[in-house]
Amino acid sequence: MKALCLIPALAIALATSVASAADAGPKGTDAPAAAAPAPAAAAPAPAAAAPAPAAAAPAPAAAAPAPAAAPPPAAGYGKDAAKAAQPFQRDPSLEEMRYQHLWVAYGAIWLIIFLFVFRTWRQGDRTAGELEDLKSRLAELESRNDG
Amino acid sequence: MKPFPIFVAIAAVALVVAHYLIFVVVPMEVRMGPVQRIFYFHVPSAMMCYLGFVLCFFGSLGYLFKRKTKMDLFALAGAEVGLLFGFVVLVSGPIWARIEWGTWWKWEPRLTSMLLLVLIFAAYWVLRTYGGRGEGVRRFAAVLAIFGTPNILFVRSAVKKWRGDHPDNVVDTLDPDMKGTFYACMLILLLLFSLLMILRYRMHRDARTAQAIRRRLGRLGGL
Repeated sequence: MKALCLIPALAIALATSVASAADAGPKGTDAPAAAAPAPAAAAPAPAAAAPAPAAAAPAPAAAAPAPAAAPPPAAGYGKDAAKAAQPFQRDPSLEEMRYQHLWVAYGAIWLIIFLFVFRTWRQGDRTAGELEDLKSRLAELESRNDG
Repeated sequence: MKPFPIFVAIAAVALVVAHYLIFVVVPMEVRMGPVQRIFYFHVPSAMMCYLGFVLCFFGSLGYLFKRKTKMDLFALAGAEVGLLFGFVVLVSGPIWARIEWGTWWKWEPRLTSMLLLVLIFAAYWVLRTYGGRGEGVRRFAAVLAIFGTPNILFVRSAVKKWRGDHPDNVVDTLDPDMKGTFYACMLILLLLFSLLMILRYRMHRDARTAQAIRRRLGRLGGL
């Protein structure tokens, strides 16, 4: 039971270490990326919503670097190529806010789970102790009555 | 070594793996950036919430028909763990919405129906916790759970039926890496769910046994 309380602590420690590693890394380049992942989750139509990198670039399309020659994505994010492909996303204040919300969300999730586990642990310990006490009292009383 | 500590250890390792997948392995989403990573706990938590309430439904049904204490305790544990994951959904969702929609909350069909579902089971929990331990309270709570659970269908179909801003099923459109992480998180949260269910069930069973012994001691004059 006590080991269960370590789960949120481990998770928070991991999230914090990854967060500090992410903060330390550079935030990407202007080059388009070859391996942009497909849009996910709640993104309704990222391709339509996002300005195309080629259109946003002042140079003619022919002068733009080929996707295959794109520099590696930002350090700290192994498969972060998509980030580099979207220059408009690199607004530092917006990026910072997004990361802040991400950490707050996971912090809140783990706080809720931790409180639940902690409460279960305390209640379980108390109940188990009480049960042991009552069982011994009952056994004592029954042996006295039998005697 | 007992099987339960092994189960706890596996769950602990699995949760660390889940965070590794979410924060390191999974690719960055194009439009939303890092905040999309909330998805990997938000959606599986909603599934676990439904699962808890469905288990509560079957436990309550079983209790009403067979009057077995085990069924009642199972229903209570299901509602509690379902509520936990329901709160996780209702807390992580608005944090994500703050970035995506520019507001913490919208009274749109999916969000509103989810809030109502959680409130129904919050009422169930309050009734079970503070309503006493009588047979009447248990039966009333069982009926509340049976009538409350079908609301999951409204939550699930809210986007299709009434539109709104919340996206519908997006798992099929995910990048393979994202999909893999999503299913891994689903499995890992299922593990955590099972663990918490066992713990809550054991705790309630011990409390019920203690209550029975106390009654017996009272009859024997030991209290």
